Amino acid sequence: MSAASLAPSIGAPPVRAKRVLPGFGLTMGCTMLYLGIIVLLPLAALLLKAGEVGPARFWQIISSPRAVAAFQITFAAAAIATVINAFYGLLMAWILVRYRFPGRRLLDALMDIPFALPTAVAGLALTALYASNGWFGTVLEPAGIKIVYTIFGVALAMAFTSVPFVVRTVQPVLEDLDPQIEQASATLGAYPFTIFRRVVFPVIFPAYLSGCALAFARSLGEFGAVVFIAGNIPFQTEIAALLVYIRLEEFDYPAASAIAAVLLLSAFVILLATNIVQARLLRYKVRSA
Amino acid sequence: MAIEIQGIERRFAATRVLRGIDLSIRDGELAALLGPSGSGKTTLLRILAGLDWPNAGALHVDDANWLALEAQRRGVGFVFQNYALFPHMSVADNIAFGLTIRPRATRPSKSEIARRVAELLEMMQIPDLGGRFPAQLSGGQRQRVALARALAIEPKVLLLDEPFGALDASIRKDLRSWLRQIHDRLGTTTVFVTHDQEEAFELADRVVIMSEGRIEQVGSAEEIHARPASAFVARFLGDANELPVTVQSGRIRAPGLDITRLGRFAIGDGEADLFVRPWEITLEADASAPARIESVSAAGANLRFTVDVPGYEPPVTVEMPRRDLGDDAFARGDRVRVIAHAARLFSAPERNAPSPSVADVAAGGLSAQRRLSI
Repeated sequence: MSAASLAPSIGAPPVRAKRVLPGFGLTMGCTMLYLGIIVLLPLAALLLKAGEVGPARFWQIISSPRAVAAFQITFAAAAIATVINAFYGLLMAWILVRYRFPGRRLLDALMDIPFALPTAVAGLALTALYASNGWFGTVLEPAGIKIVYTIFGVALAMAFTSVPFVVRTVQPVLEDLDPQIEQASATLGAYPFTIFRRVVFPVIFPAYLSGCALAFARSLGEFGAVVFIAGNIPFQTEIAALLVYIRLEEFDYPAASAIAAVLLLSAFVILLATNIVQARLLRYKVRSA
Repeated sequence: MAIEIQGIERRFAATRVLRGIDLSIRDGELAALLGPSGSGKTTLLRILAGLDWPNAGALHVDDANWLALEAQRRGVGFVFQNYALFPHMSVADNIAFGLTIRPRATRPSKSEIARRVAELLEMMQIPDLGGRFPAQLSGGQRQRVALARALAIEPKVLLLDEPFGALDASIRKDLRSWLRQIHDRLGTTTVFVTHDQEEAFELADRVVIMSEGRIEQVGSAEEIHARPASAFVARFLGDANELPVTVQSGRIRAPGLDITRLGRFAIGDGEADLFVRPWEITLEADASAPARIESVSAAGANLRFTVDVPGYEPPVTVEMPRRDLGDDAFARGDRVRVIAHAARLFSAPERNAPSPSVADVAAGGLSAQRRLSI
């Protein structure tokens, strides 16, 4: 080795800790670029477009009776869907984690179908089942329960597509829960209901809350599954996402983006609020005093 | 509370984890269940707590049939090996849990609960940690919280599963003497499980040695060391030379060893194992003896020799006080006579039978070994 090649190393700074895998700059850069192009840029464009019209026109668009009705229907249906999923999703996660039965793994795999299935297919299938001549419809309609072309149909479609959020967030936390914690509660005198209320539920609650919030946010924007079963009657079963679509079809871009922006902000606020609550609830995991 | 265990058996599928346990634990006693892993000691402890149920047998505590009582109604304090603290509750809430979940009629008032928690924190020497969460505690502190939580319900019986298993050696010693003090102060009947014999013998009034789902011996540290009841116990205690010998009409044949000073053993003819501790042997210079000193090393006030005796593997370990040896201590290569002054003898059924199947050893072998003979 020549003296010249040695020279730089003499003046080099002292040894510093090296990461095992190099490339933070590169990986971070790629991630940010991707996030920017795929997620942030379209959102920014949407907000810009919505902002073009000015505050007064913006307000006029989103407070028009048809838009308000669409928002009301969307939020109400999403709320119904989330309540259903909150109950059913927790039950499902519980069964998958706590019991061993034939077909458990199959059931576990089926849980992802709403994610994988094209939502339009789900919407068609639900409509076929619940229509007045469908399998369920022929039973329910004589009993006075109408699903198709009502808000319940909308909620049903939303529930179908968003249930994995609850199951998949609760499941790992439930799996990590040390069974000895429940045994300890039992030796201290706690019966199953108390153990669930005081020990199990508080531990899974942050994840549960997050799953329900994701399910709700997803339901707000659900489109494909809903449009088939809803009937899309303005002021009755027309959801906000469909109204956006209709405005687009009419080349009314400002109106479309204004309504879309409201949906976007609602989802964002819900997720942000959930994260704040979750961080507060999980303070006990922080190691330092 | 006195615990009476009779004929407890437990099977998991085809595995017999407990094969008939009979044991009495006296009121206020501190007892240790000692044994290698897989000996069934933790299963027995869990049965005492009502976290597991036997396939056969009886369990009475002060004449109450505990097998008819669920865990919630037994009033045991159970300390888990990994502590099993409630991660989402503060230390104070963890300790108070057993009291706050009581039905309104029997629940102490809020101020009473707070007072009890403060008292327990004080007793556990962690008075300032009430507001912390378990994740913020060290292992030793978690152990103390787990014990405080178990003691808060004023348990009839205190059960601890490997209470010091997850701790550093130095903390372990401190906590050991501290646990003994707590026990002496409260007088609660206490049973703990351990695989560390030093821990068991130092801490417990009586030690129950278990192996493969059976009790091998019950006794104080002195009793067990002086008279191990079986070859398993003698082997488990360790630090003894295990010498294969033959017994013929009551006499031991051990070529190469001087066993004239041992008394007679009541043992059937056949192969046997002679357990001799290093300090129970003396050496005498004898140029015609077959045994040769292989190495000499210092061991405090003693000298430790390894002696190669033809026919025995590994070499015999001998420890003699330096004082008695004087200046003419033996050197490496010297020929010596190996004299045993005390020993324990157990027949070795696995070598007697021509070729016992595994099942034979498991079923019959142990009971044959248990016949005490000294």
